[in-house]
Amino acid sequence: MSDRESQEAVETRLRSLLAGELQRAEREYPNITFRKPQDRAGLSVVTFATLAACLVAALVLLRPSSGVPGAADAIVVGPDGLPSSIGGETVLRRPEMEIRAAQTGEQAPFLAGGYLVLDTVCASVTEGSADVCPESWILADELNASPDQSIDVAEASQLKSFVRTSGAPTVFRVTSLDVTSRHGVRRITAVVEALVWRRPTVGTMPDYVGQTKTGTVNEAFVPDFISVVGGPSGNSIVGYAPKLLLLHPRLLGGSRPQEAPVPVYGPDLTTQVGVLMPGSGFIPLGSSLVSSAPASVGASLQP
Amino acid sequence: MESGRAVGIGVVRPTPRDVAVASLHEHGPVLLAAARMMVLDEDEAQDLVQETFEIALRRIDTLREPRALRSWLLRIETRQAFRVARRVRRLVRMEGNTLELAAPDGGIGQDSELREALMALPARTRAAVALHYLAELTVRETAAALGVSDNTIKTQLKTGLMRLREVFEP
Repeated sequence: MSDRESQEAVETRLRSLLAGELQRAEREYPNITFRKPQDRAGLSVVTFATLAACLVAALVLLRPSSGVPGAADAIVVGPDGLPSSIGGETVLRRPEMEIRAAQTGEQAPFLAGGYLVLDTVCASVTEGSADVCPESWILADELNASPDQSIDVAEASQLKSFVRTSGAPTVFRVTSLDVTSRHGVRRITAVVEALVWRRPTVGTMPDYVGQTKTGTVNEAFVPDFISVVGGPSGNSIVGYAPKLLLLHPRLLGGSRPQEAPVPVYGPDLTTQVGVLMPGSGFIPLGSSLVSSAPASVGASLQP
Repeated sequence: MESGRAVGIGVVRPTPRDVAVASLHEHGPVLLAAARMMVLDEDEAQDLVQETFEIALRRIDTLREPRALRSWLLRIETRQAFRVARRVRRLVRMEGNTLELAAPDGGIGQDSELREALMALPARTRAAVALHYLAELTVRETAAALGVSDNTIKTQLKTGLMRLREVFEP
């Protein structure tokens, strides 16, 4: 059988297999009961909450901005992984803000917490022109929240301390709430004046990095810190490297930044545990290959 | 004359938005089948379809060409699928409801190796195969959904078919 005939045979069997899949979907789709958003997000939330609890120890990194009314130890974290109060001041969630938005009269600024998420369908920046892929930032109840479980924070990206990473637990100081209605859908927009608190995100590099036309990806979807694997098995997470230094090696300085070691931090995201050496992988501190530790940049989360 | 006025008042033409919203669920099965191929998890696949509709309803006004609804929905779904993949990887462990593709009618067992080979393809290659061969998107539409060039899709489809062909020609 020639290559062409062989390929056609595979295509025929593949189409047959996929046609069967489509028929199955046509039979089953009418009987599917889509779950409520809060139900389908349940597992992720529970697991994320576990992760969040593990990362509570990383509160050192939660560098409060000037708007924080108190020291870091005055932060009380709630069961959802977000602060319930900062410096004795209550951090409101979306349902409380909806009640507040319905009230009339002038209101004092308040703290609002949620997961700051970039809302766009475009993962790649290659098609990221504003008219094709409009972006907006929303403050959601949870990472997988449905649209009605979030409020807009359109001005957030204008704040001086804003970090362009999607998914970070964040607290803003809100000066007012605007309510609009479009196509019968009520939408709340929070006018924010300061980013009060945020916890950096950790995770893996999206798998499509380097696969787009220009090899670029919307960096907002890359976590603040990228998990670094190594150790005896070669599979365990040994630390976390700042995404900014991985994506923009020039920030490391020197004449050949592409070959410069990238610092790797421990679970607290501030204590350096080694370096990521191009061509060699992770090298723990104290190894003969690491003569001196690079300067600490662990908390350098500014874009 | 009276009837003329009545006609003038009574005719209400649906807007393109109304038409698109009304036909969203016609595309549910293909979205579900493609989602199953992309995420290989039944719960995730159903969530993906639901998320796709939620996003589509929010953005329906940005759809300029209602005839492109199907490819537009698949594009949203594909983008969401890889966001889902990211979320899963971000978590320490997620107990999935692992999906097994069903055998086509009358062919039980015959294509089990092909199914396994299909599920073993890299995620983005499998997505390209699903969009092109299952949802019957053009190469250009598939490329747009995955955010890559036409040539990349052609390469992925060719590579995918070669991998599947190895099932028959070890």
